[in-house]
Amino acid sequence: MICIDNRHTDAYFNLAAEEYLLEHFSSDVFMLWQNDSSVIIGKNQNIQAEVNLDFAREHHIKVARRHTGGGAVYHDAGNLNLTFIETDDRPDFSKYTRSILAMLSAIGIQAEADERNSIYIDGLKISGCAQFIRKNKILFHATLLFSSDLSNLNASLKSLHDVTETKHYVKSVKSSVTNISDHLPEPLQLSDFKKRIVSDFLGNARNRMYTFSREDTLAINKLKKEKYATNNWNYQA
Amino acid sequence: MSIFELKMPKLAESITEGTIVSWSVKVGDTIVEDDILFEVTTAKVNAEVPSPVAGTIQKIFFQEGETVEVGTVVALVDMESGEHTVEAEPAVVAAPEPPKEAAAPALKEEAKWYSPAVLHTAKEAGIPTAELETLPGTGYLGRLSKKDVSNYIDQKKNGGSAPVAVPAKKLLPVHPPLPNFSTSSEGAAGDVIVEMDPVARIIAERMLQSKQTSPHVTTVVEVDVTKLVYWRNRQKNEFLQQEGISLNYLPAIVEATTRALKEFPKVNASVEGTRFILKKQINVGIAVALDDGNLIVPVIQNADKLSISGLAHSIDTLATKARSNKLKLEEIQGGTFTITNFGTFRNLFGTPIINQPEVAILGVGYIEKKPSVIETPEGDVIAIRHKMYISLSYDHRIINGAVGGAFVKRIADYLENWEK
Repeated sequence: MICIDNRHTDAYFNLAAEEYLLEHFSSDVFMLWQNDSSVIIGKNQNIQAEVNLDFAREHHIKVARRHTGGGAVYHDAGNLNLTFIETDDRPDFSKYTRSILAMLSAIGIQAEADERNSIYIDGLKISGCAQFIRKNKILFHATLLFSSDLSNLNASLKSLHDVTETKHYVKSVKSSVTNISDHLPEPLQLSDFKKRIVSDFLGNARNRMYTFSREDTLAINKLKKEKYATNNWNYQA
Repeated sequence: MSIFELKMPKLAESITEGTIVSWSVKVGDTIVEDDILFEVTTAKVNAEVPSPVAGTIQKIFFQEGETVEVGTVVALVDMESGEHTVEAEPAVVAAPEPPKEAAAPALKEEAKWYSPAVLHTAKEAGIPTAELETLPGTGYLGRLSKKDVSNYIDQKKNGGSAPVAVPAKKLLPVHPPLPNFSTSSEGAAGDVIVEMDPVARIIAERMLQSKQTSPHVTTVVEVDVTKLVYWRNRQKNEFLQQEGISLNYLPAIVEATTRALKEFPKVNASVEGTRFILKKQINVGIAVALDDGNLIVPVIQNADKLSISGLAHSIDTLATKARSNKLKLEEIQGGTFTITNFGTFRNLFGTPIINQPEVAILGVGYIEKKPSVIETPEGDVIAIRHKMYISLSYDHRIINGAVGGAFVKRIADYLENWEK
């Protein structure tokens, strides 16, 4: 498995990167990434029903649609995203949740998952996940609220629109949230948590680091420009 | 003939049903193994389901939007359809050979596809397919949905005549359309219609407004920036080490500009009705291209009060904030003059549009080495020099040619004799 410590923070680029890796990489991938302030909605969600677009615009929060299912989430520099891409005919997504629980336990966080593979500390949500399946390739990704701006999170995900449509949309399940940093036994920076995850990953001799090549970046930017950064994709109804 | 029953797959452990979001095939389509047939979604998973077999889609049982349990048959695939055409070969008769193209009569009908539910509803109401073709569809890819047909039937019953054309779904219903822009064109086949995002709308409005407000004039000066290039080469390593950011030419250009602006107050001004407002502050905007194709002009407040390193830091911070959408309102307001640096894109010179309510904008071109005639006491010699064009677009209501020309030349002089 290769590990990508992706330092790009543009949501459109990063979502394009996920699809690009799923499509073009034969090896299994584990990627850590973060976005600048943005709201990421699920593939089959209604943007107006999920996002307070006025608030997002006023606060320079990007709004992006991802290619996995699930509900709307808020990302910023205090949130860490983990992506797993593997080849599996009959995937069991709970295995990824178990490995995230292990990463948390290593820094002294006792958390638990529910049947939707969301992760909670004392009943408050810190992580949500979503998946994409194309043929036998699967992509699982999860958020980890480490030290996010929770007031921005709540405000940007509070849509003022009541959308009554006949079309099938996936509705977000609202949860009360908390930051991991508020529950740490001793202070830890998110950047150090990331370093720890990467070094644990490299503890396995079969794993290695990978950085995007120039060709990768060009292709990802192309996909971003043609799909993820377009209104056609993000505002589709 | 052998029929394959395509079932809703079990996508993952714990998933018992899925909603069909879209079909990428229709009845009659020929598919090969592994072609994506439909997209299905659950609360968490979005999946594209491939076909395990090759053949022709014979029947589709569930429409887009319907939720189906795992294991339910969603479509039928005729796996031997390829052989049908072979069977149809004529028996041995002495007739002339039939033209080969005649084998594909179905092609024309492919243009319009109706779901089983639509056909069923139409059939019950006695509506022929030809009539269906006149109805506007609001479904996926503009297809006719069951609702469209039902509405049409209701209308017919109520004595309504022609079908009411329902406009296709708008992409951005949140914003009203921009005035002054024609929206009449639907484009020719293959054209892509892109709704402007909010920032693009503002840019479009501002650009148009500027051209309508200010009579633009542009003049260009070629600058020998060899000294500036050498200065940067001498400084850049130490600068990076001390300041933590790399040194480029922009801080020097901003400094030369602010010095010239002090001498030419009419260039650092605005026009309000019949009055000129000569600005006390010198706040220089820098045009920054954004990842999404838009641009923004963050402003260095009191740029004339900053040193080279102060300018470098200010530009670096503003550009980074601009690209990550973190600019505060006060960081994009109050500009009195703008600089746009298309030299980054290896462009030589341009005629930029004034950023209202300012009255002038400086365009900075690419620096390249050129053979140049140098006058020396021993006579003229040809030397390799670094050259750059700078251009100034200005509002001729307040700046006439003499002032505009002298102003750009002054910037050029400062850059040409750069000593630090």
